[in-house]
Amino acid sequence: VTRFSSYFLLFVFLIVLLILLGSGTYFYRSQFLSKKNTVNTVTLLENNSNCNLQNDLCSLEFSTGEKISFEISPRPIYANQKQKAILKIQHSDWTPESIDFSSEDMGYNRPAFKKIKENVYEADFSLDSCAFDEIKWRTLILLHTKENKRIGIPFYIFVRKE
Amino acid sequence: MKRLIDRLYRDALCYRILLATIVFFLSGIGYIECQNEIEIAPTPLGGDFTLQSKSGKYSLNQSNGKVVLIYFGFTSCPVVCPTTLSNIAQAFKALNSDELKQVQALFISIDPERDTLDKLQKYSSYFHSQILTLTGSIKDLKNATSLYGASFRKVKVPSGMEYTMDHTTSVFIVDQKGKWVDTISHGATSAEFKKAIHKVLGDKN
Repeated sequence: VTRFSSYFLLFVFLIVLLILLGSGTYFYRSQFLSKKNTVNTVTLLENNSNCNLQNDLCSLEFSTGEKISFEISPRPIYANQKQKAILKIQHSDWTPESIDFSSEDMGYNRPAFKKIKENVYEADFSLDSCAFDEIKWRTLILLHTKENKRIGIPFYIFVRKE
Repeated sequence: MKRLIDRLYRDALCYRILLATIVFFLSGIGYIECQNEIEIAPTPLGGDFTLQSKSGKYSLNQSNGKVVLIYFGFTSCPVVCPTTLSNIAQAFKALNSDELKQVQALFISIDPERDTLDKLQKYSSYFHSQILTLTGSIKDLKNATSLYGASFRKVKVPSGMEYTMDHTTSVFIVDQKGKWVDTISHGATSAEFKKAIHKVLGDKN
């Protein structure tokens, strides 16, 4: 009887442990994923190019067939200067939304794309300067897929004061 | 011997269940962490704030009925602030008298340490009478800037100034109902400010 009860207790303990850990996992995942599903979540696409927007127009081709070309003018890109970003898309059902410029403590800067003609979009913006001579900006092209998933293509640029 | 085998079997079963549970839990975390996803800053929504003016407390909603241009800066700002204020002033001068009654600019100093309300009033008088100057505590200023996605910070510099202020250089346009409707990037000309004002006046008139 003692042996049976000790097995039974062990069995109950393991079942309770399993339920606790399982529900904990479910809770953690659901909480985390529900936050991820907000409008501020972006799925990053890899950008393996070494292209520098300070010097060139950057073209990328993705494994799923989409092609983009992106440039900022005038070049070189200086802080506190009116700039225009031009995005061209080919073989894609992506819809450009905006460009998210971010750098530490530099505030919100997310100019929206305007459609200029078929597959060509533009955005006007200016990048702020600070006490440092140069700022590294993450330039994230934000787009929506056909399934309304928000995706981002990252570039990094160093911008100086003129 | 049988008891030992039983015990070993029981322990092995126990460890297997425990291991399976841990793997299940870790796979849940792993699934989440492996997603190539990032969070970006939420879009600021604008809104009302209260700061100090020369004539007492001032809330943005006191300007309801007018198109308001909000600019964060400081009087020791060497180039960016005077250029922007000058362009806003030129745009105001290009408006007719009826239009001018319907606009207001707010120059909000994010350098309350140096910019007293007297100093601010004198500074804005160089530009235009429709430019109201405000400032406040760092906490109130942080609140106001965060509503519009703007930022500022004090930065020590090795000069007679001792410090300067980094700040957002955009101008935020708020409509007659207090709703933030447009952002004008630094570098906009007076004609572009006038066009942006007309757009809001035209939308609501």
